[in-house]
Amino acid sequence: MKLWDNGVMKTNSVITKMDEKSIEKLIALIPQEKINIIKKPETGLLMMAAKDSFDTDFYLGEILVTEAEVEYKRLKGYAMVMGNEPERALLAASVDAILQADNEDLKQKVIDFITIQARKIAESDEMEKRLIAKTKVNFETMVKG
Amino acid sequence: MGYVAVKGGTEAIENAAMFLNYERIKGNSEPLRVEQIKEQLYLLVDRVMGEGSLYAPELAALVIKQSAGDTFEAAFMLRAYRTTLPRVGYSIPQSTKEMRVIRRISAAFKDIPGGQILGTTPDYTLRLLDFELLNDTSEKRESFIRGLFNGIDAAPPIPDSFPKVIEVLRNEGLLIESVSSQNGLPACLPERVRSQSGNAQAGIFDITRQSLTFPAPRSAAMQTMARGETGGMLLLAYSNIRGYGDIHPFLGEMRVGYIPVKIKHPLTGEPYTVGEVKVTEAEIIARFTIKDGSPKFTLGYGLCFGHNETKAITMAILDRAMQSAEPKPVTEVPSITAFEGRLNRGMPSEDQEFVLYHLDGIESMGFCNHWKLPHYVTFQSDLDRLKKAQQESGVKNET
Repeated sequence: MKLWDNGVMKTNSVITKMDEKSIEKLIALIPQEKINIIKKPETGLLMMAAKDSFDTDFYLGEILVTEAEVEYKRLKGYAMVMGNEPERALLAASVDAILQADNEDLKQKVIDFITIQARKIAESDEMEKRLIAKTKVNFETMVKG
Repeated sequence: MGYVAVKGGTEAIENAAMFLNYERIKGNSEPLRVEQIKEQLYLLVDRVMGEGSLYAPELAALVIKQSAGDTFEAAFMLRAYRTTLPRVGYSIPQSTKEMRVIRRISAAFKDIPGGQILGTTPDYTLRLLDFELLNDTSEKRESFIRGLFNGIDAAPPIPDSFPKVIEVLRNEGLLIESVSSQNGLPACLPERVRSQSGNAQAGIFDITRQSLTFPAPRSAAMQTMARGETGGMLLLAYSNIRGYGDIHPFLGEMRVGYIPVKIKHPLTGEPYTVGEVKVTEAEIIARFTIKDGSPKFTLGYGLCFGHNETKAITMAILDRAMQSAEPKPVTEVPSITAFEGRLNRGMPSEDQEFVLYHLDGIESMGFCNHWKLPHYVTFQSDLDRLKKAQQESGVKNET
């Protein structure tokens, strides 16, 4: 899952991967009284569709997800996150709405926080990718004779 | 339903349920935390999620704890739990081209674009017992991890994604291209089912909403296998490669990693990433078959939730095996008995109906275990009939 796509940070992907503590910190940055909950966080099933090597689409199985919808300054924000995660879903929906609104100050605070998180996550991902790279194998074929 | 014609027994049943819980907790060890199961028995968690057909690592770990490690019971509980939740939508069909790879190998080609990445695997290791684990401590773990990451900064990381190995064969025209006859939903289904108003995606069969019909469309076969029971699939695939079938599979590519889960954002309509799921994918290249005179390779495909290589490989073998012959409808089989009919249809692993009806763990385990429930009435009636038949034919019991 890419945290940046063509240089644009995908905030939902970052929030999905943030740890509990960072979630709490980000929640504290957001003026909760101005967030109007339209759809309370609810868990449900998302059917995952996959594409095989013959380009046939099929259902791989279901995923437990939590959905939420909020309103900030009359702008709607939506989020779906994996697992039973009501807080994370509400937060992601709030961020979705805030980033569309014109409160530049708040927007910047939120973006800065998420950017720092994204860099941290990318850094630890990078370490694991180096570990994986070290398992790259070169087999040599034995020559007859 | 003769076997449920009993009543009462509530007290003993309740006591048995409590005794079952007691058995799990009576030892002196610390309570097992769900988080520990999720992190340290992750392959078990992956297996249960795959067979339960619900990607929810936390819940899978919970049911593993609750079932004391019985994978059938655990998958059953997950499958039961999913029926209590609403379906909120469908993802955009995702290929594995964007996979964040942690392991990727080919047993057919030595040099593949991007290279062979062994990743996490017990292959090539001796299966010796690690007695060190008897005295596992956090300190030991930390020092091992420190050693592992020491100097890792110098190593170049692997790329974000890898090209598919079978593209090599495809580009050279060595691969039979499509299984178009299996695509889409069969015309015999009523229009109501085919169009599936609701919010299902057109053309994808959903075995959780529609009963399987044969010949099953490719999407139905894939979905059935993706949630199949690993052992059952292994048995059928093994029968084929051992000799009750004629497939000699080569592993074109197998990859393990994470693929993104994307939906259409309900407000903007743009693709929106919900998260990522760990999957295992296998592509089997089978020995060429001659069709229209020109020899080509054929492909078998397997994909399942979690890290489960045996399941992905067997799924690919079974997919390929079921392509061996055009599946014949049952009615066309000229036979006297159903048993003969089955034999006429070839090898079990090549018979789509045989394969798809027998590899679901919840169904097969459920049917097998229902024999434990009281069958007193049905058996009594069998007994009565047998005794009567014996009396009428004059056969006497010798003892």
